[in-house]
Amino acid sequence: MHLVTAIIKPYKLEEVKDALRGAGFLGMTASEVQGYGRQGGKSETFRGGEYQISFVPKVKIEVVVDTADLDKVIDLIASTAKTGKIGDGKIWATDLDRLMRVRTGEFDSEAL
Amino acid sequence: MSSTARLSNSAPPTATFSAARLALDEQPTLGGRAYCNALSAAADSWLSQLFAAAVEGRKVAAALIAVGGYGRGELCPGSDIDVVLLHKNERKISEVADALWYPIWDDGVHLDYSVRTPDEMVGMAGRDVKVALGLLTARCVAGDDDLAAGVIGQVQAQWASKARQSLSRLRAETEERWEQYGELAFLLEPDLKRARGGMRDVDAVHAAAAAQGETVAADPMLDAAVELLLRCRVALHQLTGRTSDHLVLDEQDRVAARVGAADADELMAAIAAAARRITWHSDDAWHRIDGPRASTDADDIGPGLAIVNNEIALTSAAAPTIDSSLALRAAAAAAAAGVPLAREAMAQLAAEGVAPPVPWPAATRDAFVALLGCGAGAVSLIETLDQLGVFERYLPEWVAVRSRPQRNAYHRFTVDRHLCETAANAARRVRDVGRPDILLVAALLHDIGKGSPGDHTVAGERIVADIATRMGFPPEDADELVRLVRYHLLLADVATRRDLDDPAAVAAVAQQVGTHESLDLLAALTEADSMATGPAAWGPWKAELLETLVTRAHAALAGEPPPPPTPLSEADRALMATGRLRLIADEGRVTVVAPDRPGLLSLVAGTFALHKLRIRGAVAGGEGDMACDVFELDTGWHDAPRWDRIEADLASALAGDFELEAKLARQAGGARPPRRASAARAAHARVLIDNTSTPAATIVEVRAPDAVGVLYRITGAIAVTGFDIASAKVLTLGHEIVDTFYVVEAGLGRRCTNPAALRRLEDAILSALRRPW
Repeated sequence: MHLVTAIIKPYKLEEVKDALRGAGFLGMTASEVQGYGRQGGKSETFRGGEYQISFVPKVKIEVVVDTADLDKVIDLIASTAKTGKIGDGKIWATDLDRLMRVRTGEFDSEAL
Repeated sequence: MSSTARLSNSAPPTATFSAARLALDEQPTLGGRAYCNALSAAADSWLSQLFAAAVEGRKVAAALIAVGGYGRGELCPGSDIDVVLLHKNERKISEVADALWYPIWDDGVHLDYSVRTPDEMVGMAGRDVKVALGLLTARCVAGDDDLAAGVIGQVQAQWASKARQSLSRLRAETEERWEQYGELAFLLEPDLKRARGGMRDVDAVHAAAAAQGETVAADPMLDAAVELLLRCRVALHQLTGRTSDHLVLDEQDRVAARVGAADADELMAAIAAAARRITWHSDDAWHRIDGPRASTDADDIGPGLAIVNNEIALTSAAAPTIDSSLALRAAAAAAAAGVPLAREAMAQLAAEGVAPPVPWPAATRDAFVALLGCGAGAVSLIETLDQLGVFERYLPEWVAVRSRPQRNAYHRFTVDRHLCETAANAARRVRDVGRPDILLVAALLHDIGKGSPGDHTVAGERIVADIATRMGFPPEDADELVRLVRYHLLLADVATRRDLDDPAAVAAVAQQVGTHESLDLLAALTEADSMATGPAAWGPWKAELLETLVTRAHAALAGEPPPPPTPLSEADRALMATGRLRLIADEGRVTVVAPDRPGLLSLVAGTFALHKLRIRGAVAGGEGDMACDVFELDTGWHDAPRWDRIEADLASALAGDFELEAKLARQAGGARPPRRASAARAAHARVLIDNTSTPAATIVEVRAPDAVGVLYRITGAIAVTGFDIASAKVLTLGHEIVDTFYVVEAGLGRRCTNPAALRRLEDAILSALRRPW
């Protein structure tokens, strides 16, 4: 099992959600976050003051998937969230030791 | 999606910037400025190509301008490429920007950019001093040269036309930076760019000159200083692969090797000397900007000196070739009046001044003492005399301690600066002693032996004996100076490491120091020295201990009996009568009452460590089978300790059902090594056993690197080898701890004279300190 975390542009959330549901991945957690990357939170034609690195609003989504589906999910999120402009975000995956569905007490792949 | 395809087509036609940088990095002999110029040139040619590709087929009035350090051609490996895309209200400018920035981002280069019209650029520079500073040295890299030159010229003209506003903003920005980054020359881990004495100060002086329509006079020594800092900065970026200009201890050896210094000490001394040159230059420039330029009447302030235009000047009566007191009197007058030495006066003193005859004339000696007596104001004047090469005419021994680094977290200053700061502190204590002149000279010279091999106190005694005679002090005064140097660490050592309730410790101090007068001098010197050392070396705790020791040593000198040991209070007795564990906290003092058992102190130390409380001292007491131990704690904690939890944990630990060892291990494992500066070299554990100082107990002194639970381990080892701890003092010197224990044989309550038992004790402590968690 892996936890896939993706930082994407906020307006891409609906599209990514629909794409994941369409491919059969039913659960997801989304949160509003802020951050910056290599461009320091600036747009291409930056006109603000000097020496400021500004946080940009983003959405973070988290999906737990079976390891076999990992590449598929990453590709799906990437292709849906991509605009080709700066600030498209990042996706990373981490190995997951344990998963439990609270209501039923099911563990690991049962709980997916 | 469409832009992606276009961007990949506009990939740079030739080698990228990062490739050019890699090629330059393979030429370690290139030096500082040469490297930066070459790297800036590589950036220029890469950006011109990108710009040409970006505007190809478009008709745009635009220019790419290099600003800041890049504008000056001082690009370092980790520097941002700092550029402005200037355009005349082009509607399509974002397409040009896209085509420029994406390849730069994709090359992994740090880019700091803006896109502006001429009006925006000039307006921005008028509002934001940092923008203005960046644009003062801007230059056109690609595109419309005339457009760029026009706007840059406008910004420069605006900077000069509002000179007063420009200078005051520059001043504020500079002082804020100094406040934040400290002084390069005296810091263990300096920021080469932003600290006072760093490269930014040189830029600021140039900017200040530009505001006044002047240029900075050429100064080869200043250029050499900047070159050294640039080389170190280039080496640091290359070695770390990062953009930080913070020269941390871990990197100093590698940077030293890369720039060709023998070792890190030599490197840091060279950096300190360079930073001093820059600071001196910058101070001189700012003094002149601040000083009222209106002419005032000459004010006579002693033979050959006058205050002219708010500066100390030499009059026509001055005789620098004959009067060896002149430079010292000039400096003292400047320190006292808070004004600088005039540039001409400095030049004349440097060129014509002479070393004083031996022995020094009384007037010269008096002037020397008077300068030291000016206190904090004297420090920068001594620095000025030193930069001029004048100070070493009086004290050739100064050369050996000049810019000498003390590379550990305990010391905050280089040796020479520490000596000046100590003298400045001593100047505040002159009313407390019978011989202010001796106090001030001793303060300035107490560590002069640090420039010589061997023990600095022993070397210092010899050097100070020479200097005192040369200065013309009579033999008895010279002896007093030597005595102060010999014992300058005595009071601090005894106060922080010995049991002051032990009459033998106090009597030994009294006997060594000899007289009330010497004791007063030594007390004032100790305070001045500790305050000038660093934050870990002075505080209310140490001040109180020192005062206690000095009071008791005075009493011992007067033949008064020592105070009786503090008896157990009624409250303590009542608590002991309960027969249970009780923990009473009162500010920084905690009394622990518990059924006595071997290793009690170790369990308390371990439990306190678990709750991140630092013990500074402990006194064991009690009666019958109950112990009543008093702990002094470091009250610098962030949150109020939860005494109920601490007591509960201690109860479990005493009952043996608490995994103290395992919990401490977890804490040690989770504790990240402190990011603050520690020391150039790791401290080794050492145990010193002193069986002669006091008949009542064996004194065990342990020096070890500071770590989680170190006191718990030492006290545990003492308990298991069959010793009781009567009292303890715990001192943290930055990265190292010095713990002193008065131990007695368990059950017998007396000093241990069995060498085999003492060896076992030493081995047990050392192996406890080595044991991994």
